Order: sequence, then structure tokens, then C-alpha cells
Amino acid sequence: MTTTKPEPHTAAVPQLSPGHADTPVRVAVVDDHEMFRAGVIATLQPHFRIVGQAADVEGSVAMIADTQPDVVLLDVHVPGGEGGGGAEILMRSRALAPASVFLALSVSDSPQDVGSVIRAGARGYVTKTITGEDLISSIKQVNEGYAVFSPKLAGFVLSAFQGAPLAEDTGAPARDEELDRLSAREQEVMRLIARGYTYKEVAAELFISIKTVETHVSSVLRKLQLSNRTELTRWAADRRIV
Amino acid sequence: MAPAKLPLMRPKRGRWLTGVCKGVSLHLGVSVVWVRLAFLAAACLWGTGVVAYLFLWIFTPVGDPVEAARRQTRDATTEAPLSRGNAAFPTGPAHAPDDADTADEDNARSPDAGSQETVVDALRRAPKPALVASVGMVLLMLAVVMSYAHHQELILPLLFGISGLLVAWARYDAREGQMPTMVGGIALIFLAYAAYVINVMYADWGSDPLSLIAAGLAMLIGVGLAIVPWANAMIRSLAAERAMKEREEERADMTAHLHDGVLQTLALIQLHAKEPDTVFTLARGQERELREWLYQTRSTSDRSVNAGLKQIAAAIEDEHGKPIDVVTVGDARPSAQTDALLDATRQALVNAVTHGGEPVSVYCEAGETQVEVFVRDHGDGFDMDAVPADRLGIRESIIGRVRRRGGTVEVVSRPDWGTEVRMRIPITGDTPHTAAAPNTNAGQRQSDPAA
Repeated sequence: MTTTKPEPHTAAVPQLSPGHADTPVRVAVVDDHEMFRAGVIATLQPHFRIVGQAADVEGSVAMIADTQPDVVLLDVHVPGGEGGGGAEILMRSRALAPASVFLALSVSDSPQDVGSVIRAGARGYVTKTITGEDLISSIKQVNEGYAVFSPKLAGFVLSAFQGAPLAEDTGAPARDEELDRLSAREQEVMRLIARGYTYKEVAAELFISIKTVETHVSSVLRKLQLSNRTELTRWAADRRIV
Repeated sequence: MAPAKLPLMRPKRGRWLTGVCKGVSLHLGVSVVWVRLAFLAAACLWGTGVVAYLFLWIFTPVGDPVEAARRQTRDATTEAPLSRGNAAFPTGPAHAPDDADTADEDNARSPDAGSQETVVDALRRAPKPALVASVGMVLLMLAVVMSYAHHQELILPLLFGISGLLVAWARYDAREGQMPTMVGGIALIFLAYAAYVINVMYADWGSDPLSLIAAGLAMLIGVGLAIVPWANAMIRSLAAERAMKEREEERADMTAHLHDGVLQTLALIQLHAKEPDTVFTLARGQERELREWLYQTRSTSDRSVNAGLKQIAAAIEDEHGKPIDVVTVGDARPSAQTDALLDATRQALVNAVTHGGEPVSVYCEAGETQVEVFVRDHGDGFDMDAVPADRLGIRESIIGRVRRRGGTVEVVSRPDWGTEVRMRIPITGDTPHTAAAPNTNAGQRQSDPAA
């Protein structure tokens, strides 16, 4: 509804594949809180090209389909639609804008909210208390195709997978079972992130490259999204974690 | 996408009489023709079908089952109180018109949209040929019954009695006015009884007291049936009242909380607008408290490891005005070990916020056999060996405390990296020496955190 484009000339810009080296990342902001949206846009403006913003579900879906942003900064609690909020926007716009990736940004840190957007396909989850600098690097990271984990989210993942046996890297267990487990390395990475390490520090600590850390993190995210443990989110919620 | 099984509801479209058959057929996934035939066949078995039909009519709500199923699956994902963001929260079913039943002005008008309809409404909605046919069938059945039973004296009471019941039920589920219709219905039923008694008295008095008693019983049953709509309305209004009261209480609770916490803090922040430190402390404390209130289930135990850790972090945050990120995984019962660990954590956090740099984070993972706590800051770091021997902050308050309880402490500090205090302590619970056992059923053990 309130789809506005602060930079009307972007229509003339040819569509480029996401992650293209020297073009600015095209970012869309979805948030129903107008002041917050304005603040985020002001923070991101020098670093990215803001191609659209919206405040409700219908408007967001239309805006995303229309502008095909590289990264959508997605609030979890958005009015409209069928009440599904950010997760609903994600579901509906994935078909319309297959190249866009989503970074969830919410003031909430309840396991239900985190779980719903992650399982709907968000590439990361950051809370609104994040610093501008961190937000910028998070956006860059998801644009490059990697997942973004805040310490809180890493804690949530560890809780959700706690009690599951570790996947043996050499053995070849059934495909489904594999999804329910984290490899020892993945768990190590998650634990360091939960301890407040940056990706760079995790890489240095484990003597691996940042790219490897990002790969581990992305595969954890994939497991979280695909894990056939349907009670995953509920499990975490019941134990009052995150 | 509709689930495999639709709920039992009477749809408004495609009905012949009141939609019972159509609803049943949708619910069971059987062709509606078969359902109707089954009801007709059952009706011939001493009227079983008719009774069943009436019961289903009364107890099946009106509505579109497909739509209801869709809404149900949707509700499951959005029942979290905050899942609507700033959107208006539905205060009762009044929001129905905006998504589901816009086409249906009847529903939009009545507050209980989608669940009930009065007999009058049902009759108005039923196709007229079906009505004529069913009235004809009822008359036919009456005629058949009458011709077999040679009881002319029954005709008048029966007519009275049936019309009495009809009157009583005519306003079933109407918003109000059950009382007068009920009284009218009961009066008619009394009339029926009186007519019968007078009839019998004139025919041959006292010859058959049993028939009088039977008639009295029939009247009682009739009166009972006539009361049902009124009782139903009573129960419904009671339930509505209770729900309203609960909503009110919740609202009052929330208002009180917002008033005590958020509004006061905001006022304080306005007063101290010129003092960034105070503003920061106030905002941070209020945020933490509100977050806890909104997203966490209340009444965590006082001194479970998680709760204790959060309390400590909050206190230090308030004292020093620096934010601390707390992440916890799992939980453990309090014991001498965990208390020592928490005390050491407090000291480590104090060190981190006074000497280290932001961000400061504390991570706690409670497993089956041990609890680990990591306190990390991003300051300049320091040389552990260079700390003078008389400084006891780290040596005694952290390392000594944990070691005395059988734990280990590791302090890692590097320039331009910061400092991390890593503390591990074994839990001697019901399984003292199973450190080697695989960590497979941590989930079960955690299922009852110290209450």
C-alpha cells in the first residue's frame, strides 16, 4: 500500500546479478514502524542502494516483486495479509523474486518468531538493538550468500539441537537423520558465535578461513530450515530459551 | 490449502433445507446424494433419521467448512500475541467481515458471525420447493400415523404440543427474547395436555390412569425441550461474559505493567535528557525488563543457573551502564557448584565491564554433566602473568572459587582481541561420575528445570 521508492531513477538501472562486485547492493526495507524504517534507511543509505520500503504484508510482497532487491531487510511483525507477518511475506515473495535474499530484523527474541522466519527461509536473524555497523556487514554477508547468526540465534540453534547426537563426519547415516544433527565442527562454530566471537575471531580460533566459517554457518542454517524435527521450535520454546 | 478433513459445518450454499446433509457430506467426503438417501432411509426407521437430522441441525454451526479449515491452519501460526505487530488485535469475532465472510451480510451483522442462525433465518435461506416438500412429507407422515392409530382424541393435543415446541424453538439462537417465546411454547404445551385430559375425561373417566400419567410425562418432556433454547442462550451469554472479563483482566494487567514500567521510565528519560549515561541505563534496564515480560514465560526459578545468570548480568548492567549480551543454552538445578560458578561469573563480568571493552557477552551452556560459562569482552587484553600477586580479583574470586568446587578456569587474553574467561564446573547431581557417558539424553534431563 505504502510502497514508495525513495530513488525513482533506479528503474533505469539494469538488473544485475546479486553479489556483483562493484555495484551497490540493492536493499529493500520492510517495517511497519515508520520512524524505525526511516532510521534504518538513513543508516544504510551511504552504503547501499535502497530500492523500496513497505509497511505491511501486501505492500511488501508487491514492492519486492516490483523492485527485485538483492537483500530484503524484513521485520518479523508486520500487519496485514493473513497475519503471518514476516514469514508470510517471505513465503509469498520467494516465487515472485527468486533472487532476493532475506535478513530478518526484529525487536523480538522469542523462539517462535526466530523459528518462523528462519524456517520460512530467512538467511539470518538480527535483533533491532544491533549497531549500524553490524547491520551493514550482516547485509553484505547475506548478499554474498552466507548466513548471519547473532549470538542469540546461535544459542537458539544450540538449544534446539541439544540432546541430538553429533553427526559423524565419516559415517553415512540416513539423509533425514543427518539433518537432525550438527557436525562437531558446526557445533564448535555455533558455540563460539554464541560466546560473542565475530566470524573473523571464530576463523582465527579454529584455524580455518572465514569462508569456511561462513560455509559451516550456512549449512547449520540449512539444517535448521530443513530439519524434519517438527517439534524443533516448540522444543526450544518450551524450555524458555533464546 | 485445505487439510484432508473439513470441519463439520452447515454451508450456506448448496443446501436443500438447513444444510445438514451437505455439511455431513463435505465432512465425510461422501457424495451429498448418498447422505440424503441415508437420512431418508433412517427417517423411515421409526423416525430415527428425523431425530438425527434435528440434532445435527441444532448442534452444527453454520459456516463455510473450507474457509474455516483454511482459517484454522492460518491461526495456528499466528496465535502468538505479538505476531501481528502493530496491527489491531481482534477484539472478538468482529473482524470476520474483513477476511472471510464479506459476502455474507447476515454474518457481518450478527456478532457471533459464522456460528449460529435462527430458525427463521434457516427457513428463509432454505430453497422454497424443499420447504414445501418437507412440510408435505411431515403432513403425510402425520396422516399415516393417524390412520393407523385410532385415537381421534390425540389430534388436537398433538397439534397443540407440536406448535408449542415450534414456538419455543422458533427463536433458537436469537440474540434475545428467548424468555417470551419459551413461555408461549410452554403455555401451548400445557394447553395440549389440558386438551388431552379434557378429552379423556369426557370419553371415559378413570378407565385408564396410565394414559394420563403417560400424557403427563409427555408434557414434562415437552416442557423440557421447550426450555432448551432459553437455557442455551443463558449458557452462551455466561460464557461470553466470562471471556469478556478475562480480556478485561488481561488488559488491566498490561496497562498496569506499562504504567509502572514503561511510562515511568519514559518520563524519567525526558527529565534526564541531558545526561546520556542515565538515559542509557534507564532505557537499557527498561528494555530488558519489557523483553522478559513480553517474550518469556513467567516465573522462572529464583536461582536456577539461567535465571541467576540473567539476574547477575542485569545487576551489573545497571551498576556500570554497559550492555551485556546474555545467551544461555539448557539449564541446571542450583547447587553449591553452580553457586560458586555464578559468583565467579559475577566477578568476571565486573572485570569485563570495568577493564574490558564492548561488546561484553556471557554465554552459559548447561549440559548433563557440566556447566560452562564464558565471559568475553573486546578490550585491549592484559598479561595474566603481569598481574601483581596482591590483586585477588581474578586469582581468588574467579579461579580459586571455581577450582575449590572441582572446576577449571582458563583466562585467555590477547592484545586487540580482548579477554575471555572460560569456566567449567562438573555437576554432581544424581549421576556423580558419568562424565564419560555420551551426552544423549540431555533433553529429557532438562525437562524439569529447578522449579
